Amino acid sequence: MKSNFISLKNKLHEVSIVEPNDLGFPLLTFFYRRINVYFKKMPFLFIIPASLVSAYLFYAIFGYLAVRLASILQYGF
Amino acid sequence: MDFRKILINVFTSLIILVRRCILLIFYPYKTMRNIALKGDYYQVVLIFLITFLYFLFSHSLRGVPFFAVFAYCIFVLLFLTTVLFFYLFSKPSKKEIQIDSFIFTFSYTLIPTLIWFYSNFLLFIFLPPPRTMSILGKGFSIFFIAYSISLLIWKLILIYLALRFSSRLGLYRIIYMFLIYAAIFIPLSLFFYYFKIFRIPFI
Repeated sequence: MKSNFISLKNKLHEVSIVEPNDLGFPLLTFFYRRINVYFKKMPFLFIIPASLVSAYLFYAIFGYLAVRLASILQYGF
Repeated sequence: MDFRKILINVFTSLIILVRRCILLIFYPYKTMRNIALKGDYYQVVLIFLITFLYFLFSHSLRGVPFFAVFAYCIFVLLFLTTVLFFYLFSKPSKKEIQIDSFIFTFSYTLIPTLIWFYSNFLLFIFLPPPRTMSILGKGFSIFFIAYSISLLIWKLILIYLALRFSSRLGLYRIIYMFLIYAAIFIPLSLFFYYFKIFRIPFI
């Protein structure tokens, strides 16, 4: 029982090390919290489609420059 | 401390390191909070060792292995300066923060960087550039840019979380700090590029 209490205490301490973010405007804080959820847990579910779409859009807009960029990045190791 | 104890600590830290790297993919928030509170220097040393191996491999491939040590020293200096910069900027606002927490969390923000540089190193061997305008060339370019963007976003998330849990500051202050850091870091990266130390900044 005592060890359960200690682990609960430790967990509460861990969870409360940072104060919740307040952006000054209730609506802004509300949107921040709604968006934040996607980055806290499984962010790649959002990141992978977003990066694929942005890479394709980059190619669709700039064409050859996207291929050049990939080559430049490959030389950057 | 005898050698056996050190060896056990290193192996334990290696297991924790691998576990945390996987968890950072799925639960970055919880994992980074855990790292900020319960880090240890063995894990930091292991990450730096993996980084050193990367520098050694990449410079060997370029034909200048002796330059690896120099580039690695610059990277370490840059890392320590970054940690110190954010620590000193956060300290006046929050007295209870500790520099150890910054070192632990920031060393874990190197994971996306290491994945990108190692994969780029392997791709350079198996699919050497330049890319062409063929279907395969274009397809690979789109895939590679998407891969780079996704790792960059992951890296930015980890940097934000590292700053959030180490400095314990709010979003606005973190953005201010980051903008000041970027104002110093971008010209510095150009300097490194100009002197052929880093083509893409390793941080």
